[in-house]
Amino acid sequence: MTVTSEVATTRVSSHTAPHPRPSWSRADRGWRALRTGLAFVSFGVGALVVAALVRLFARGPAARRQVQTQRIVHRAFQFFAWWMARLGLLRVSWVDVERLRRSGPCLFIANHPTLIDVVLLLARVPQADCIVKTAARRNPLMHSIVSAAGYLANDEGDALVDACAGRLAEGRSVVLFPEGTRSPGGGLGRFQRGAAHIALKSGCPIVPIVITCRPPTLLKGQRWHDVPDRRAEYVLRVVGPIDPARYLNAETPLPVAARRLTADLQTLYERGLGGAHEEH
Amino acid sequence: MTQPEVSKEEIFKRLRDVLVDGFELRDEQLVPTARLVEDLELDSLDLVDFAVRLEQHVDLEIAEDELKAIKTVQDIVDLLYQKLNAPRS
Repeated sequence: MTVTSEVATTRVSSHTAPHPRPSWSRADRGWRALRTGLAFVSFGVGALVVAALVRLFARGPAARRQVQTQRIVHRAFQFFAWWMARLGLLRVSWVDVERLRRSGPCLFIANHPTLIDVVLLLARVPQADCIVKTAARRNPLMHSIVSAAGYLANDEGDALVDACAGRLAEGRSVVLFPEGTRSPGGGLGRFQRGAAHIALKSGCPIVPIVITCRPPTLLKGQRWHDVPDRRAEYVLRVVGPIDPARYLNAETPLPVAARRLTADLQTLYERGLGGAHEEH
Repeated sequence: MTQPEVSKEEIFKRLRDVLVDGFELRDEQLVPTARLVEDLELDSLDLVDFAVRLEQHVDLEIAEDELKAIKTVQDIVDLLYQKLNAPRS
């Protein structure tokens, strides 16, 4: 089921436009960059508000406080996604979103084309532990929220797999990007095997989400004011859950199972994005 | 009575079995100069698992700093040769 079916397919290109109006286009782009700047400022202000809300309302034992914080972050990201859409910067469509609603914990994985993927994911999933870069943990704006939410650091190496499997065993879902960082140039990076190890260790299903963004924006290494010439159309497609038990049997050593599962996930994303890239 | 020396060829053969069976690597990948991370694509989780399998296979303990120092297949062969042929008290 598609939540928002209207996905722009028209492409605007300076090569194909019959009567290009560079000055208007420049002004339009400048206006878009201004609105993008406003969105960034809103994010910073929002972080302060969220930090205050967390301090006021997230109380009790650590696990309870973390889940409460994650719910506040979820609401805040819902608002932020709505605000970015109101600013005309993006439009988001979810396909087969009902697959996200599961009775038990699961490992949500996604490719990572743009800076705000995690915002869109956490805006949809009320509770999810996620893995945060060390830089974000040290960011004064984010530090208190990240810490209160119990988000995990990505520099913990092997211990991270145990930590994620532990959260799943407690009945909490986890979101992670198997590429470990933003996708290179809007394509797809090589998957690390951590996601497979977590799923194999916990036995929880993997729910892949394939993200496309057209035109590409907020890419790795791209400056915030380097905006596209039109609104970004995000499509987030949820793929049927993958049961890691299928990869385990008495004859298959764990590293082999992790390699096979990772290879299948990589293929799933390459196929999922293949059509999208051809269109683009 | 002194134990017969285990040759490097024998060690390499046993090591190859561990890597082929445990990590689905191909025989032709397993040359002495092959680097574990860059060429054989063993990640940090694999390396821990590899150390456990190796210990079971050769009945020897491998310390963490010894594991960290290993870069190539030849490094493992040399380490095991040294350990297996060291005089035991």
